[in-house]
Amino acid sequence: MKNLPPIVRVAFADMLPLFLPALPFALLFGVMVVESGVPHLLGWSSSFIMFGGSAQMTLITLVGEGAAVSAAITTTLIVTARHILYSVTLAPRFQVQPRWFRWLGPYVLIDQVFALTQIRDLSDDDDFRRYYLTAGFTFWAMWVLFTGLGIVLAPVIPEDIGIEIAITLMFLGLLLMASRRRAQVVTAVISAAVALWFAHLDNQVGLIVAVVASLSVATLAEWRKA
Amino acid sequence: MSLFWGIVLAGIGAYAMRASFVVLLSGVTFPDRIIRILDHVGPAVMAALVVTTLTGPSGQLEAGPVEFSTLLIMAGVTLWRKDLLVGLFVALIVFFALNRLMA
Repeated sequence: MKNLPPIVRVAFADMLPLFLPALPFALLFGVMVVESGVPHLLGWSSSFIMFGGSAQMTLITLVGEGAAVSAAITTTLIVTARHILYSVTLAPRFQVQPRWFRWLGPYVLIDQVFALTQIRDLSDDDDFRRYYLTAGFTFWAMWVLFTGLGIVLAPVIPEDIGIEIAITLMFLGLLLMASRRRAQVVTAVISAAVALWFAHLDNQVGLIVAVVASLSVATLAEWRKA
Repeated sequence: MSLFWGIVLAGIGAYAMRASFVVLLSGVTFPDRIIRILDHVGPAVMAALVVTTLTGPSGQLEAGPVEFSTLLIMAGVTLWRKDLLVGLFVALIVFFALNRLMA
C-alpha cells in the first residue's frame, strides 16, 4: 500500500468502508440466485456483465417468478435509468480524459462511485481518473466476490440479515456530504417528498419522477438566478 | 430468449445508459449555468434513494421508530463531524443498541 500513489490510497480508504452497507445485499443476491432456480454460474455472471445490485436483483427475481426474459430486461432497464443522469453529470469531467477512460469508466458508474465523485474535491484530471478507477474497481471486485460467496453460502445465510438499514444510512450520508449549497438542500427535500408521494409506483419509477421533478425546479431556480 | 442473452442485453443496456452522455458529449463545452444545474443531480438522486429504500412495494413507509432514530443520529453525527464513515459507524452502533433494548 505504501508504494501506491496517495490518491489511490484515498480511493481505497473511501470505498472499502462504503462497501460494508452493500455487503448484506451482495450476500442476499446470492441467496436470491439459489432460490430462483437460476443456474448458479449464470446468476453470478450478472455481477460482472451487468454490475448493478438493484438491476441484478430485479432481473433474477422476475425470471425466478416466471416472467418472460424480455419483460424482465425492460423492467431492469427502467430500474437502471437513473444512471443516465450520472452520465450527464460526469460528462464535463470525462471529456478531458483519454478516450480509453471514456469507454472503460462508465462500466463502473454506479451510485456509490458517482456519489464519491460528487463529494471528493478532485480538481486535477489525472487524480480524478485514478480515484474513479480505484474506487470503481474496488467496489466491483468486492461485489463480484461477495455475490459469489452469497451463492456458495446461501444455505446458511438468513433471509433477513437485519442490517438492511445500512444502505439507507449510506445514501443519507452521501446526500448530506454532497449537499453543500442551500439550493441543493431544497432540491433534495423536493426530491424526497415527490419520491414518497410516488413510492407506490412499480420498478422504482417514483424515483425517476422525483429526480426529474426536483431537477426541473432546480433548473428554473438556477436559470432565474443567472 | 435465454436468460444468458437476457443478462447480456441488460448489461449492454446498463452500460449504454452509463456511457451515453459521457461518450456523446465528449466534444461539447458546458456553460457554467449547466454545471451548476448538474450539481443538483447528486442530492436529487440520493434523497430519492433514501426514500425508496425506506418504502415498501405499495409505497408504505417500512421504517419504525428505531430506524428513524438511527437516521437522525446518522444525520446529526455526519453533519457534526463532517465525516460519513464516523456517522455510519455511530448510527449502526445505535441501531444495534436500540434493537437490543426493544427486544
